[in-house]
Amino acid sequence: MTRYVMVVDLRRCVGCQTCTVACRHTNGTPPGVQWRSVLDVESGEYPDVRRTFVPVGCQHCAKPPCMYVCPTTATRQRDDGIVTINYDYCIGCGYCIVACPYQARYKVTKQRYAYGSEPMENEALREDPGRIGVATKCTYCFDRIDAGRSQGLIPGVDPEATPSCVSSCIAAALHFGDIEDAESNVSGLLRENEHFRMHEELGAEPGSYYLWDKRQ
Amino acid sequence: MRSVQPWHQTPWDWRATIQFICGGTGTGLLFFTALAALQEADWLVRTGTLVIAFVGTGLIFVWIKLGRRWRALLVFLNPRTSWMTREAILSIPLVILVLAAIASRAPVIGLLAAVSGLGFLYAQARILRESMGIPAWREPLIVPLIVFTGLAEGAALMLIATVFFGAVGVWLPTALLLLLTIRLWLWSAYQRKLSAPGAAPLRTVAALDRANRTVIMLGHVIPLLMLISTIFIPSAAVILGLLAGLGGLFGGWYLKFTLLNRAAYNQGFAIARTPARSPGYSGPGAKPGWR
Repeated sequence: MTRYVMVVDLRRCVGCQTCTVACRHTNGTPPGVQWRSVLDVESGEYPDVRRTFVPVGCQHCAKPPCMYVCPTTATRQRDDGIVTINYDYCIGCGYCIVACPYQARYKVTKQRYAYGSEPMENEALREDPGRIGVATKCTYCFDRIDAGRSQGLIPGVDPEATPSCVSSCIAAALHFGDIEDAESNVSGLLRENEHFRMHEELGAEPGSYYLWDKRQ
Repeated sequence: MRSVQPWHQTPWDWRATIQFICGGTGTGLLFFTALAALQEADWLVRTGTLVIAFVGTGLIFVWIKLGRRWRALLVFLNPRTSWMTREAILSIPLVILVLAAIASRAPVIGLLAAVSGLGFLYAQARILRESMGIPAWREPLIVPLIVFTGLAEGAALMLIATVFFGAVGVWLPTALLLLLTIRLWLWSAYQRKLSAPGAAPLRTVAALDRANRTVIMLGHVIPLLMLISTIFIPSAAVILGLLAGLGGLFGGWYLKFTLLNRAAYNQGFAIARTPARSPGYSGPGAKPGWR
């Protein structure tokens, strides 16, 4: 079996938001919709204050709350763990949005563009009226993954078969791969480093792992 | 850049609140209508029509909330795991049985309708419970709180109705008294539980605190005092009952408004550890907006 996950090295992320821009460019998401974004978290008290950049998005949970609550079965899970939305089935009830503990889902009710009333080239290319009035979220760029795999490429290794946010990361903070493959890049990173998953106590078994130190 | 603090959910706005209010009040009223109909079948017509009005209004508001209204029938596709689907399925026998009870004036059909109404009310509560992204909703106490709030609203509205259509007996104010007491206890337990460290975002706790006095005093204590007063001042029983009913009804509606439109902050974000970076060592985690 394959399960695709994302590994985020918090030591490397510099908060440049290139992944955010790459995602928006690739998917043509409207203003305010960021399937991938980077949080700027300040913590601690003076003088021991820390600033951590935390890339977030859909965690493609193994037990996705959004999928269980969806009344139309629009939200589904592929065999490789990727959680998808069938826009033709979604009725835009918003239940999945309140069920997601990662704030990863969006719903817009009218088409808007980044700069005024005219779409940019990428927005025109990726414009999809089917995404209006329904829930949307990170797809892990499964179209890139599927196209890449059909050409014999390996997601997470070959950039053409890898989510655009990961491919664009300037600091190699984002990694993508198959956690079920013991030899994969992500399995190696998880073996060698201390890591956590966000809100793990909620039991959704999220698919984003955050590295915070080298394993002792 | 996105906020790291929990923010209030937006997809379920005032229209969803109206659906929860109307659905709860309607099914609660149905329960007491069915009981009253065991004494006098005419109650199925008198307040049964009101039940249809409430439940129908709720369903209309949930429908206009949809982003793709003309696909609404797809809501029936996931009874296996979705409480929204189950609620939608339960709404069919509910509406049919209420209409049949009104047309036939048969108390047995009224009782069957009340059972489906209770199922509908329970489904409403479970819809909130399964919303894992909203700490104020996923708290298990939300289920009895929503169910007993609906029943109390129904008893309160029934008591108001008796002012216009005639009394049904002492069991109704007694039931309201009991239900308001249970709801008050559940609300206090719910609020206490969410106020514990790590149970809910600070903004949720603050929103519940702000609403607390109104919910307790106007929605419970004053109506309860009025109901008790009817024992000592029987000559004013009608007006006291009416005011108690209005208070009990307002308390339930305000409680739901608070839960859905004031306290429904999302989970926000958290990191279990800060990374080992410039100081060379890692630090404790952070959960902005939480205690």
